[in-house]
Amino acid sequence: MRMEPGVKQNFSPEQCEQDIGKDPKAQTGAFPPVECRNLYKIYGKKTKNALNAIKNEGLSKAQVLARYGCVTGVIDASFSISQGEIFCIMGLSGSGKSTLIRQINRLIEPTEGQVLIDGQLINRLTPKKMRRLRSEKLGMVFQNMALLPRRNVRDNVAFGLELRRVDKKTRYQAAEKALELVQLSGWENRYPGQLSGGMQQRVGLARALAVDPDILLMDEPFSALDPLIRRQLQKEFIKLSDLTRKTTLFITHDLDEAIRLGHRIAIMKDGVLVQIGTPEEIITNPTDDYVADFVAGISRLKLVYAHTVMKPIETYTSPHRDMSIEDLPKSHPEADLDSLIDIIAEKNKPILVVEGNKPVGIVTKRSLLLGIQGKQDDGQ
Amino acid sequence: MTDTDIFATFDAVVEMSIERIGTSLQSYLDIFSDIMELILDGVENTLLLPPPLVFILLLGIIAWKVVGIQRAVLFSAGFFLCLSMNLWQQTIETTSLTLVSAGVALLIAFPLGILSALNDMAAKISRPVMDFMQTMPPYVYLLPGVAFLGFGESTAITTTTIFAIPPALKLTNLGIRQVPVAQLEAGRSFGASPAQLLFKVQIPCAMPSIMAGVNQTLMLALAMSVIAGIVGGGGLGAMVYKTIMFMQIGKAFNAGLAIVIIAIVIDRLSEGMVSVFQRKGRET
Repeated sequence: MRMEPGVKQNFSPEQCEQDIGKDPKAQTGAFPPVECRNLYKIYGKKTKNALNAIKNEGLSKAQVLARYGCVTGVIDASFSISQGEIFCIMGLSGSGKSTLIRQINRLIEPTEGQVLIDGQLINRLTPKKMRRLRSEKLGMVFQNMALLPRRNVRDNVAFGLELRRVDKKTRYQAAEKALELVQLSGWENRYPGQLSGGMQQRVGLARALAVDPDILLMDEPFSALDPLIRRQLQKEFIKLSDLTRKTTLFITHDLDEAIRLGHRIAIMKDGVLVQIGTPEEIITNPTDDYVADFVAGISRLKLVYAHTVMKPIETYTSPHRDMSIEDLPKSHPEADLDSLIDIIAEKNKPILVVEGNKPVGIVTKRSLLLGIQGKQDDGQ
Repeated sequence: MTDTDIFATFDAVVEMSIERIGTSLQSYLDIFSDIMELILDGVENTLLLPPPLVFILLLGIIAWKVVGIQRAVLFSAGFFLCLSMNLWQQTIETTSLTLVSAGVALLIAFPLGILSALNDMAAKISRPVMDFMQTMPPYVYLLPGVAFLGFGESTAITTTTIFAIPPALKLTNLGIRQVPVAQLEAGRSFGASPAQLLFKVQIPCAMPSIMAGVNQTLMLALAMSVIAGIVGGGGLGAMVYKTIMFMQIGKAFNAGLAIVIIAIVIDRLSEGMVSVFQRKGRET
């Protein structure tokens, strides 16, 4: 992700004070809800030396460990999330994704780098102001649910509001609404120990939603569940997201999940954000072998669109001067390969891709088949 | 100097120090001892207020609510036995001493236990102190107690309390330190202040451990209060001491039996309270 060069950065406490005075609602649309600039997290004693070595010499995780005895969590992470976007960070264990998400709400302090929430730099906020920020703008869902076992479901969901000192009636109302959203109405008086894993996580989700945060932070929320429940919760989450339109940062180790849920995906390896893009971009244009390996097994049918596999109209009209393109079945550039297959299977003719009324390309059987394989059609 | 000289000097220093402290703190110790005795007498008189049979009935009802009808009947029968052995006064005296000492011990142990859990330096300091308090033979406790406070109830309360503090402190410390990191993260991520984290997340989660500490403290307080009978703790402890001195084995056995009954009742009742706390966290 390119950062604008020359962005002035003033992180004095005074600047942070000024930023807090501004009404965040007035800034909606002006600033991205979440932005990270050059985040680093290094664990160990000689973190400063290790940090400089990484910046100047480009050391890898293993080299840093060998030379300085420091463990790198996150290296130079920069990204920004747009309003209402679901941004997935995907990586294997140890890639640093959990470390990264915890720097957004400063559960872990960055070694270096800036985090901005709604345009406001949060690195220098006092603990008290940080707590206020967390309770008002950020909701978090954890991999192991982290419900309080001695409270019933209703009190668990109302927990965030209780910390904000909201009165009982109001917070119970909010809790009940949140439980409705996750389809657990009626379970208010039960205890977490009486719920299955999937239900517990729905309570966790309700707890985050009850505080009506601007931003949802989700740390592998479905990873601890069995595959069927995971699928079910993913579907429910997509519906919920369409409804609430909350900016979401979603961590997962499952590429399928990232592709299914994310508007954009970031792939993380050994603390580094290797590639950031839409699912389609990542699949069709992996930046390196690591990413390519990852996406090799993904089915392209619903993720690659006509505009990627279509060829210029001349490639068809030149060898076929007698055929009129008006007779061809039509589709649009955002149609996925799956729907293109349906059309060709039925009509057995190339497809004309039109944008509005203007023809912009053509999809032949050959280019479609090669597109499914992930190859470009360079032939006739 | 030879070894014996060194130790003889050490002993002399200890004795002299105790005497000095005793004299200089005399007035404070008097006030302290008066307050302690006031509290103990208050509790004792309250428990002696109802006629024994009424007391036994009330005990049965409370036990029924906490541990069920079968045990309630057993407990009532046990206390009735104490009554019929002509040991009612002593039983109540020992029970009061146990409860008061345990109460004071808990008042001291909880805050210190929480402090140890949250502060590593406090934990480092308290550990050897607790070890000392727990393993030093109780009879050895009694001597400075007598030196400072004389024979009587206040000595009994003080030595019993000191002996009973460690379990509650250690288990409170342990319980809070064992709260899963996930829950602490959850609390912090929703904006909990350290105080909110302590009272809404850590202490509730540590409850089973804390209640186990309460149970252990009660048991130790009982054990120690019997020993304290030697220094004027009254009750069954004094009874045991007296009857053993005069070789009255039958009466000694009776007193011992009463002690066992109190122990069982207090243990099961406080355990019952632990279960009530644990039931909420258990899976069905």
